[in-house]
Amino acid sequence: MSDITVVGSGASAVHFALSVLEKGYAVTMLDVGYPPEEAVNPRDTLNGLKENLVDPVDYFLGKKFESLILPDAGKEYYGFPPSKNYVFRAPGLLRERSEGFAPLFSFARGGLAEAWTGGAYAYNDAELADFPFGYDDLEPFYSRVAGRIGMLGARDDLERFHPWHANLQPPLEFDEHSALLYAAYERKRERLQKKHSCFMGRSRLAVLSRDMDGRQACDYSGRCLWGCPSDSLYVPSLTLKACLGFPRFTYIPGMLVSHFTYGADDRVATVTAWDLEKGRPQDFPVKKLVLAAGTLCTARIFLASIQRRTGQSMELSGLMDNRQVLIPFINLKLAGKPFKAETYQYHQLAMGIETDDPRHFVHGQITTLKTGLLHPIIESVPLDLKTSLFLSRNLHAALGVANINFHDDRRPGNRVAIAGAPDPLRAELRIRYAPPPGEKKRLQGLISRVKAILLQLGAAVPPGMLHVRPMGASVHYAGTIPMNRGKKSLTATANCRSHDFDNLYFVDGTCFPFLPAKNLTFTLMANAARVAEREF
Amino acid sequence: MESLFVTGGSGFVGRCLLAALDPGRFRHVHWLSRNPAQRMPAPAGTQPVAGDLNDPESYRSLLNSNVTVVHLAAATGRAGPAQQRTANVDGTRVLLGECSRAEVRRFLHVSSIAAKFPEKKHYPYGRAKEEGEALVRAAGLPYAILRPTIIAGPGSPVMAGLQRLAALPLMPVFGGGKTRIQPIHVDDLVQVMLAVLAEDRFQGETLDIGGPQAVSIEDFLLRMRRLSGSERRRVVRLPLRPLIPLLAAGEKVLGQRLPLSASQLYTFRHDGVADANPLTDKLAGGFRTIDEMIAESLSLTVESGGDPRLERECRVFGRYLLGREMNPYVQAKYAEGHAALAWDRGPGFFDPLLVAIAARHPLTVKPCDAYARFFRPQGLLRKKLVLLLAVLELTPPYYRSIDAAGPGSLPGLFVAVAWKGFTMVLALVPAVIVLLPLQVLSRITRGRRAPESENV
Ligand SMILES: Cc1cc2nc3c(=O)[nH]c(=O)nc-3n(C[C@H](O)[C@H](O)[C@H](O)COP(=O)(O)OP(=O)(O)OC[C@H]3O[C@@H](n4cnc5c(N)ncnc54)[C@H](O)[C@@H]3O)c2cc1C
Ligand code: SF4
Repeated sequence: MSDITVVGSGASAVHFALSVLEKGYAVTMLDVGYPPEEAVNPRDTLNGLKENLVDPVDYFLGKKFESLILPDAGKEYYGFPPSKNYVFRAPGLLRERSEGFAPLFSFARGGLAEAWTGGAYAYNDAELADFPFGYDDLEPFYSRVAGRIGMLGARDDLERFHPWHANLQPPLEFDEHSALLYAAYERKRERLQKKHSCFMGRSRLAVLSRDMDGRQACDYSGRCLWGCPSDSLYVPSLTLKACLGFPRFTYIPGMLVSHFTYGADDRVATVTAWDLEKGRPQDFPVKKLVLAAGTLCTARIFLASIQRRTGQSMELSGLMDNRQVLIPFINLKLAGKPFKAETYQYHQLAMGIETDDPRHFVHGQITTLKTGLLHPIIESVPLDLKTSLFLSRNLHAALGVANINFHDDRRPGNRVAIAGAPDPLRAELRIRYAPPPGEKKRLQGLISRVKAILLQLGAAVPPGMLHVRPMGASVHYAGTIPMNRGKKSLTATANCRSHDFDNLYFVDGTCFPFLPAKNLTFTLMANAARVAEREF
Repeated sequence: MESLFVTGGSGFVGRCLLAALDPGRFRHVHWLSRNPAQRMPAPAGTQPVAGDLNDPESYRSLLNSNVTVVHLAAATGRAGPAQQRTANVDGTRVLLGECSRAEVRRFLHVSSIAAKFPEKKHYPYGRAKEEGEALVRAAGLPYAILRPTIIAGPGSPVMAGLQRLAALPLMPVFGGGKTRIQPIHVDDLVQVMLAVLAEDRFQGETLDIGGPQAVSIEDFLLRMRRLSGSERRRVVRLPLRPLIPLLAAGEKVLGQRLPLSASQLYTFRHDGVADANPLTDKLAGGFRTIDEMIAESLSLTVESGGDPRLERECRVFGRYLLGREMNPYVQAKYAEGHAALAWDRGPGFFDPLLVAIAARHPLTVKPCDAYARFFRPQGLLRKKLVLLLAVLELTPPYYRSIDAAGPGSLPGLFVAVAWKGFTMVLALVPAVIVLLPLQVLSRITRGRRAPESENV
């Protein structure tokens, strides 16, 4: 029996595991762990793939054309490519029902962040106010994780929101459009800051601008969305690979954990997983159990375990996610100009809008559209397709999207429960979410402000193309069993140990008591490393 | 027990070799790849090594007198001359230096038939391969050099290129088309390599490795066309002699941005056929024929749906969107999209009627498309047009015209958009007059029809 059993191999799990392995513990990791497919033609650029693949449409749209975005698909501007299908593949056994929430799950080796866009921002003291620790406690772990994953950033105006930490490489070269926007910001800095409380700077990204640990610096191949072939863009499976180098690490994929069992002493005794290959359950005795299956899957395992033992249907409240609004824009200076496909594909610029309460800062990431597929944009323009195609061709270099993120807090009505069959595998996960009162008004105010800011930067927002993404779409889930200074059921200690079970830990978003606007994964990883250091 | 060290292990040939090896026969099988190993799951019994030929530190420790080296790593195709040299000449030199120092047991060098082309002035790949061979011969190691011809098989870049040529409505043939090629399937090449290892043929031979048949390149392309179901035999002949230096000069200025490179045209210039040798004579009975190679390559693409109605639609819609003919690949993908997505006809008779009217002529698509944008935005016609657009933005050569910007200046763009907007309104007016009543009628009558599920 290992010292520690971890469930999941996502961003949270692997950084926890690597940290305890480095301390000499023996670790077993149970995971569903669907693996990725081999990267095709790793040396080709994006257009190189179109030229050289025998069947490029199959690669980009999928055998079942699943990545084609049809006019009835809502207003998403990109779909997940077939090469990322494994990230969202789910075992057929699981069921869920949601109200007001569109959840995404991953059962992949590396979890959801195998498809992430690499935005990695540290929380500051104000944002950590509800956490039982401050930035100084977390900083060493941000720095450690940054050194592991390879991150870049620059000291600029955004430092007022995103604290500076060690191990940041210099940023990538701007693509032409981002450079233009940033130059406009520099010219109008004072006005933007005074009038709109808007600050801009480089995105902090989990991407390499220098070679590191056998991984190559980004060579601007433009393939980010389809999977970086040179591992310049960090994904958790790289850390899993590092874990596999430890002799005391055992990784067992193909295991869908359904529940744990516990005795009268409220200590977890075993964890039960459904062996997906053999089609039967398997028990693993545990000394310490660490759940890192992603906030929603961790909730499912936790609730199913209690329901199985007590027959009681319980629920967890306080589920959080960041509301995201996509605001497409056109930079008129680039209209009719050719675009360069060989550039970094995701956002290179970030924006922060200060509000009265520093916890409620609004976080924006600005992606200038380069190599993404054009058909979703072309079909969304209110013109016939041929005219719209003409327009998009000429505006391709000028297109961009501001992705604006809002904070969330724990509210009792936002719940996760399980119901139905007593068999933990077949029980249905039920999610209910309602936005905070007055959200619409707040969003409208901020959207107008962002439009005005973009105009200052020389970019216009075309009518009818703005998209308020449904809750769940940002995939920043947190808050169901929060860290709590006092001992209270359904909460956890400052080191993420359950107050209900002595040897049970949650190292994913489960324990976050507050969700700032900025992307949480970097903090998930840092917190997981912190728990490993402080508690083990 | 000896060990094996394979360079270029994650490449096209390397992958097949590693998959076919019996790792039990070797103490270790290490394979070098510039791309971190976990990008390609390591075949059982083999170990990836992240590194680069020109960075001997990354593999030095793996070489010793018990190791046979299989040297596959190479920059091919459209890499620029400098890259070709760094990878194919410098890389080979560095590797050989390390191998000599470690006194490796044997060295299997996979070169190319291009090394023996009589003239390679504008063909840096061929030159680099020839130089690489000379380095191997001079290194003083027990060696064998294999010169494969065009290598076919899943993921073959050359076959993909030829297939694209064959799929064009007007098939270009450079030069007289009589130049001969003799493709070999990658699995068969791997069998040859395994035989060299097993028979210990490391006496300094240079062996050409070709498939069982040699044909003219024009014949080959026409066979490809025929097997893909196309009846057309229209060929356009383009002069090869002036084109090669012209392209080479263009590349000096524009780098590798041209759609065609001088190097690629060398396939049309010199016979790429293999001299006979006892080893291939012995194995050739089991080699794949040209038709088998072509059939595999085409089946990896798609088979045309063969539905004349969809083919017509695709052609008409393609001419509407891009003003160009659609090649068989696009037509097949359009049909395949229909099969995969299995759209139903929608409520009532209106959607299929709109598609039928639109598909009559490129001129009728415009009003139907404009109408659909405003009155049937999620209907069948727009789905079909979006499907075609998505296929086109991924398929050469069409994607290049989708990516190309137009007027260049903002005022020019305004004028062009204003004009196009005006023509859209002009098209929309009669469309509304004719189509709106039909759509209303279709709504009224839809309850009387049985639910439709037939694919369209
Ligand atoms: C398109 C996209 C873009 C994103 N961009 C960003 C970004 O730029 N910045 C950012 O901070 N975040 C981003 N995210 C969010 C980020 O991916 C998640 O926050 C992060 O992956 C959460 O990590 P996790 O380890 O907590 O959980 P997950 O990634 O959900 O991992 C869960 C793991 O648990 C395993 N598992 C689950 N249930 C079970 C079970 N029952 N039994 C066994 N194993 C199980 C799974 O196999 C998986 O390995 C993005 C997400 C997506 C989808
Ligand atoms: S991060 Fe993106 S642009 Fe950079 S190398 Fe990877 S895929 Fe290419």
